[in-house]
Amino acid sequence: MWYILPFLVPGSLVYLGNGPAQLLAIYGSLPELALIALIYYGNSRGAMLGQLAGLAIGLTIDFLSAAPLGFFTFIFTLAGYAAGKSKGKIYVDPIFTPLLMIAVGILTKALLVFILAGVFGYPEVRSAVFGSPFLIQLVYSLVLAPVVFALLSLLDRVFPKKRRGGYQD
Amino acid sequence: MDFKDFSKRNREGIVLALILLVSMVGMMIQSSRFAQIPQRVGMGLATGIKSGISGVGNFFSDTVQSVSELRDLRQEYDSLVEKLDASQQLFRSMEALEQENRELKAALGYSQDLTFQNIPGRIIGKDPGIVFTSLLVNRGSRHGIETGMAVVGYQDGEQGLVGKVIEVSPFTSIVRPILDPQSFVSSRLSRTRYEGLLRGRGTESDTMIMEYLDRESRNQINVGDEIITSGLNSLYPPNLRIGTVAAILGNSYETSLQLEVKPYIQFTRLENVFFLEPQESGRAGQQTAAPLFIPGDDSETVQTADEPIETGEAP
Repeated sequence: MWYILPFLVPGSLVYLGNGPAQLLAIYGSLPELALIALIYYGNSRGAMLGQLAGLAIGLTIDFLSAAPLGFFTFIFTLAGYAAGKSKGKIYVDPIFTPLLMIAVGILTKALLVFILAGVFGYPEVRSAVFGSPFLIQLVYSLVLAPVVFALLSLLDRVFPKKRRGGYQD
Repeated sequence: MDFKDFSKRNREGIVLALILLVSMVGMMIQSSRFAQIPQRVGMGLATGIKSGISGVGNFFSDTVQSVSELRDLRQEYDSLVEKLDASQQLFRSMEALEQENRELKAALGYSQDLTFQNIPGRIIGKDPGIVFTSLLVNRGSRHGIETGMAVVGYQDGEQGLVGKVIEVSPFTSIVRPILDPQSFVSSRLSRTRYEGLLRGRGTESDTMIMEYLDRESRNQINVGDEIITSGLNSLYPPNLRIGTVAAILGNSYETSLQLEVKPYIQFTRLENVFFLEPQESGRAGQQTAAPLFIPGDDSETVQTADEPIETGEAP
């Protein structure tokens, strides 16, 4: 379960955001719940699992949205890898670290969307990246980040990593 | 240092580089036909799961909502009976006008119009992001949906253009709404017949911008004028209703006029759509058939305005 959760939880959040969670949208903006979960799992599982989870989530978003195939795969894989590289290097407190990590994550994602949209010829998308919906999304995500981190950490305690068997007293 | 040692030590970096490379290649060749095959296969798988989830969710929400729906239906029924009386009177005068219209068209030598069949579908998902806007609909190639089909919707008795199909999998399709910044619709003002290009503004706004209008038209355009498709670029059939003029924009030094357009369709509460299927008309005098909305009908039946509708008992 330790290895499945990084795929299962963000994946479920993608589907949730695509359907029922639309009711929670503020002026059309939803929080980046899948990205928050991905950053949490990247930070707790490492770069390899982080980038593979990012690959799976990015592909799912590409298939469910109007984005070209590979667009979100690129962004989420990179996000999972970067979050994974921070494993063991950052002390994760309940509030400040999640806020910082998510703020950096969302800003980096927006910047990547801006660059990729420019490079691969989506000028209209480029102009929509840093509009007012983005600010709403950023604030919405930051408010929810500590809560999501706490819930995922609780889930990890319910399904802890199985240690290899060995000699016990 | 041999290759084995290198790959062992940099395993994460190599996997990352491979994934990013494949993603970039995917984006680069997205426009080619060959590249759409993996997209369709993946979309089929991803949306299959999505259909299952939304099916279960719909079952529960429908059960809960059915109680309040019954109350609403009663009110709707009463108001519809009143409307029916008014419509019957209108229908009588319309018959005479239709006859006159047919005769005039025949006299002017109009070519036969295209007729449209419609395929009803239900929206099962919306793009959660802010940069791309799309609607996921539970009808795909198995139901006759093709890329490029125009999509319309009905709300509060009003028909309005929704967008067009951009991706199709066997059981689902993705529709790009007219509000999307990548959406462009060749349109015209219904009353004054001035043409322009309508573009979406994304999630930032629920209105669109109509550009490249003749400056001379400024004195003839009023707020509230209807905008329809012109059919000039052949992506959308002509005369589909889009919305109304919300504001007249444009500075005195600009060579063309801009209009802010409010669509008839409120996308945040849109649930059902209709795919328009162009079909060659074999019947003289037939007009563009308006798609018919049968509330609650989720069947794959294709209908046109000319086909008789079986009436059932009122709920």
